[in-house]
Amino acid sequence: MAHSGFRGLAERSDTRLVLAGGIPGLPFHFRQDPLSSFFLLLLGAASVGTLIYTGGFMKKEPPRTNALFFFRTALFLSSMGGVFLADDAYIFMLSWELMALVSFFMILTERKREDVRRAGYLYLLMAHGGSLLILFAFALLASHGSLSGPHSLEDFSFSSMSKTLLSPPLALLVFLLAVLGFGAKAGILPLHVWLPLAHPAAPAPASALLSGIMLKTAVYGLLRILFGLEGLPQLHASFGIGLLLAGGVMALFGILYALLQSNPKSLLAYSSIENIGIILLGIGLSILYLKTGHPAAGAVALSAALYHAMNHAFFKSLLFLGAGTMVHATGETDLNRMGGLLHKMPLSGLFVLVGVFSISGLPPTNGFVSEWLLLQATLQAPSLSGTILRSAVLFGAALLVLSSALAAMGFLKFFGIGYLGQPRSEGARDAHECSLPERIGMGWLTLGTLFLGFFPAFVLSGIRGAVFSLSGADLPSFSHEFGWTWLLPFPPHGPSTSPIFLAGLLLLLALPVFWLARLPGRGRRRSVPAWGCGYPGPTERSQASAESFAQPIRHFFPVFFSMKRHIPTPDDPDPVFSLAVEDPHWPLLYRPLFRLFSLVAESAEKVRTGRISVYLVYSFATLLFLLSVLRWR
Amino acid sequence: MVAVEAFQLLFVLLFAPLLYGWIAIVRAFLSNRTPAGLLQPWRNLLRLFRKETVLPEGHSILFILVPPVFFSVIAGASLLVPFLLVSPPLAPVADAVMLVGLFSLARMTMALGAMDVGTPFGDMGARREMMVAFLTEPATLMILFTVSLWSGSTSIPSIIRSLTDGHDPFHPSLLIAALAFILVFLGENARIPIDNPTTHLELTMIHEAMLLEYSGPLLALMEWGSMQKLLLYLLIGIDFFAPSGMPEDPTLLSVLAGSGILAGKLLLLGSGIALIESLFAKLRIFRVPEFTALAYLLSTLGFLLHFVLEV
Repeated sequence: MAHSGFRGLAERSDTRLVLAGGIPGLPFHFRQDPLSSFFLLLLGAASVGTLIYTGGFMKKEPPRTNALFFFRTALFLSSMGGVFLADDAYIFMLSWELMALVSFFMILTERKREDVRRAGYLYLLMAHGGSLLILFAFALLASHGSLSGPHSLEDFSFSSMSKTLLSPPLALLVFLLAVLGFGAKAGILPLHVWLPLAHPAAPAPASALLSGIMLKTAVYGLLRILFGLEGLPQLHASFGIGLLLAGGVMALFGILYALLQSNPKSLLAYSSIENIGIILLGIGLSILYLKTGHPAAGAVALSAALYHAMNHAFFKSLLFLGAGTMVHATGETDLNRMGGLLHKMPLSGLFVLVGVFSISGLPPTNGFVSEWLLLQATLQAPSLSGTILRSAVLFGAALLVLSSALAAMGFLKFFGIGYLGQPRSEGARDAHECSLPERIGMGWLTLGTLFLGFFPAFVLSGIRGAVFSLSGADLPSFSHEFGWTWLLPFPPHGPSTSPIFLAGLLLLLALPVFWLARLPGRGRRRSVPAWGCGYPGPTERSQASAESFAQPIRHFFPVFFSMKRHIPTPDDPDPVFSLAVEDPHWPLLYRPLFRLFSLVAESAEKVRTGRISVYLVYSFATLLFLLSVLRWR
Repeated sequence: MVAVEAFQLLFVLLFAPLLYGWIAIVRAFLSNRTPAGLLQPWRNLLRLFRKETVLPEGHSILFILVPPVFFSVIAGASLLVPFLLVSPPLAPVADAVMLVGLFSLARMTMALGAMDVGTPFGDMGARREMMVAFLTEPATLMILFTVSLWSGSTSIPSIIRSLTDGHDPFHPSLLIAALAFILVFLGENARIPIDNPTTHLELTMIHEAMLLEYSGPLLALMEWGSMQKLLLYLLIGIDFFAPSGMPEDPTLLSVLAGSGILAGKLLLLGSGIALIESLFAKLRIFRVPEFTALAYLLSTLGFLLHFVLEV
């Protein structure tokens, strides 16, 4: 069905076309430049796997639900395509809003559940708040910095907006509006609260699309406004510092909360916050370098951000689909009731293992490649002048390495509790391997992940065009034969690394070692019960729980969590230990905000008396007020 | 050139158990005991290779795959770290960031193997290992960044060259980074203030808890791999902080002389480890993150110090 259309999209998107079609009156501008092409490729290539998977995942649903879901998915994907191709503010906002609405309905697939409805509503609220800010940013750009507003509708096309010259305070305002507006979609720190609620609420293929691809539309929008429309000359290095530190804090916060989650999909949703943080860190770093006259380092940082966006689209979709199969196979949504799934689902378990290694940034996978690029870019800090700039980059690097080390711990928990060990519930005992389309879909994403890891030079040659069009700086590359096996040399003329050589080397070494491991044991192997401290018959309850992984983290980073702990006293007749951890943004920011909002609403209620004469007085007074305002001008 | 790489691999494979034996000898000497001899780790390994494999019930294929993979990742790292020559032929394949990545790959596979059977000890060991690693790994990277500031590149040969060029012999940032490296070394290799390599006490063990279900050749591979890891960490430390005397040109004579100097440095460092292990008691497990956080902070401080004092 929809598969073939999007496969076509994936292949076509390598062409660089400039299209300007239109309707009389207000023409629709479309344009496919290298940046759009890159994101279209991401959209096409990563959604193919998810779409194939959906075929198997929705098999047991009634045909009506099935058709509705496919319809929404197709609409969702085409609206995202519209966002990537738009070349004027009107069509951009139209696609953007369509995307928000359709994804709202995709989250509400299981609309009978109270928590799903709440999550969906919160998402809608955030999405619309964000679009409002983006609209303001567009309006500022279209009005050319003057307060009288845009002169004609043509001013809303991107090509006319990119000529706008803004005064420094207005440039800062546009930057803030864009970061907050797109940040609401990408889950930037105080605006992230919808993300961990909405992603787990949606069915697995929908969350894969939401997290793998929709978050990238926000990255695209941010890049488009900052580099394309506002333009590099109007940015300031301090914008870069802000984005860099915001991204670093976001990465650390996201992964710390991911470590605490027992629901596999919430864990993945929080880890999306971490990954978007890493992407923002890369963008901030590139602004910083480009504005201080280090084009090569800036280009590497920007390509690291783009590379990571591509990686995240693949491995996060893969892991969300994997989490979907875990939930489907066991009928449980808690990691503590899974376990031992590798025995029952070996192939999909293997795919998920590849995803786990990639997202933890271990060589020779793709997560490592983008991390390597980003670290190399941060290492150019000594060429910056001024301790503030250098320290900002240094703290960015420190946060980055810390959060990637924590990611390994979080995903060891994900895989170790979910797939390894012994089954922890009846559902996990009766688990079964997922259907063929599901395995093919996950296999496609796995292959994509491996390709991105082993052949970074190919990917970078694709990214190079996008980076050049954004920053005007070129990436260094190897000119000699076999250049395709290496990562780019950075600093230029410097050394590099080669994931594919490394993988080959490891394979070459592993073969004799396998032989060594088997040599004496041939025929002399027996099975005994595992050691359970001398107690016979270890039960599945004696295994580690998902929470036990979080315990040292909770103790070590108490400032990030607002915890409520109840420890029973010795003479308590009903001793229960309870612990509730909450995102501090709820008690500190959102609940006071909601309370204030309802307070204002209630006091506004007081003017409503129900007598028509009073209402007439209100409208008369308003009219008088407006007339006097007009006369004032 | 191939000979150099083969010699590097052989050196690490053969010398790693001997270094373990040497540390045990010095420790025994310091506590007035009779040592078991330099070859004791080798005897243990050979005995393990001759034994049968006892597998726990309910293991998956991952359990059997983990030891060979772990071993070959570490052995692969021994081809990439320069120690006999400043620039061995395979060194360009991996820079120092890649090496740190390889060590975390090894750690992750080991933790997966430990969690495979689902015994309380395996899970506990894996969890604690990650608890130590989530701060030592970033600390290692920050140390590496500090030493690479002079060359601006993360490839180890160029780091060594920039440090042996000798414009200014004393750098405060290097001193702090070296301190941090000692802490990281002890944490990563399960040495005494963090973990006791000779204990099987349930409440405190980390590394041994992960290996509890392994036996025979599989256990031998894991142990041998861990010994190599310890040696490789020392070699990386020598590369970063005491690289003098390492030959540039691959003639037989200079390589032999260089490896002689290297062996001397290693014996000295081994005695240093034994001294630390004899002087300090093991930390409570809850205090471990404080120790590793100190390493992380020190390494970040070293980096910062370079900017403030040395540029």
